[in-house]
Amino acid sequence: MPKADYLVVGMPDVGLVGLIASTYLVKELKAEMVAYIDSPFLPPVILYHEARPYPVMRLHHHAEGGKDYLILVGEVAVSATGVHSLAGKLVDWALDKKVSRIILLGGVPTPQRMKLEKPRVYGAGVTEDDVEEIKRAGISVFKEGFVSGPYALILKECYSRSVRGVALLAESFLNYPDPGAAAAVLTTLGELIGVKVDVKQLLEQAEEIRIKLRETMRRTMEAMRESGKAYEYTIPAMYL
Amino acid sequence: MEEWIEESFRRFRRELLRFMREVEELVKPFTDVESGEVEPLYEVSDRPDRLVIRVDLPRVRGKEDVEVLRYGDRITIRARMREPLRISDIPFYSGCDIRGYKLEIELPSNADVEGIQATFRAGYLELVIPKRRAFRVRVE
Repeated sequence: MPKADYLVVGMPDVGLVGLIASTYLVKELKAEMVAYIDSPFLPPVILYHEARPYPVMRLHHHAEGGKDYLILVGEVAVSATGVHSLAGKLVDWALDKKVSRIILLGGVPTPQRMKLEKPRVYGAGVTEDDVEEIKRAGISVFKEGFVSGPYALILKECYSRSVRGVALLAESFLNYPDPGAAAAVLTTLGELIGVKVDVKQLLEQAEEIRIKLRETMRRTMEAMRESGKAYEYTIPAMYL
Repeated sequence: MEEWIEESFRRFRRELLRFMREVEELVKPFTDVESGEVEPLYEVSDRPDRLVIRVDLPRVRGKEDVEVLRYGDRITIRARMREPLRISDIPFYSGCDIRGYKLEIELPSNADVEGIQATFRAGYLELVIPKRRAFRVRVE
């Protein structure tokens, strides 16, 4: 198992942005699976693709420009009860692999999404250096509001151990698969850490993705209901 | 039997039925393989004076391919895709072309079904259903 500079995480959540983005990233980069995560909190499933079995939470490896990237693709949502231990283990493991930064790919729900041609991507940083880097890359800084669900716990773990981390959150639909938001997040990822992929094909396949991921979206909604997603529409008292 | 015990049983039974319905919903597929129709994703927002139902209909070309029918307080939405989608590698879908969408929604009793408006734009269908105002009964 190689050491890595970056851990890029894409899990199913709002608009399935993380899942769509990480799946496309792995496919475009032809990043090979090098490890997987198992937990009793994951549903009892294994998936098959091109006649080969794949665990539902996989780590892929990619090397480019002298840097090593690990990409986590979470195919199914982890139940609210399992997210705590997963977040802790993931950060432990990243530290063990000498990962210098954890990048989370996801969405932030906005009711205006239908009207947005190009969704904006916000960067939520953990340390001051992260925020500086978000600014330097010309990305909008996520300044106010709650982040909830699995990414909130990963950010919290990073915070408590002073691990560098950034969540890239694109404005997205809450409960429709959103390939447009995933494309925006991937473009921003390129600006932040230099892994560039052409999102043209992703945008061309957008309609097909929206149909095919309907069921995954519904199952994810169930998990999101438990994970305090409603906090993301909540104005924190600190903002008063 | 004491009334409160009966009421507790009734409540328990209601809860149990609701739970069973939810479980059924969770395991049921959202595709009718026989007809090649899938249930689209949709959301309902309940505003003070109206209900807004937004339905995600990717691959539907235009309003001429969308049909909204009302029977009493039920609405049936059907839409045809621009071209069928084949997912034949997955056994559940083998031999099935997904051709369109079908969604049935039961409206609440205060929905003004005569005033429904439907708009299709960029792959999304929006239904706006006004709510009937409550009728005030004079108290003598």
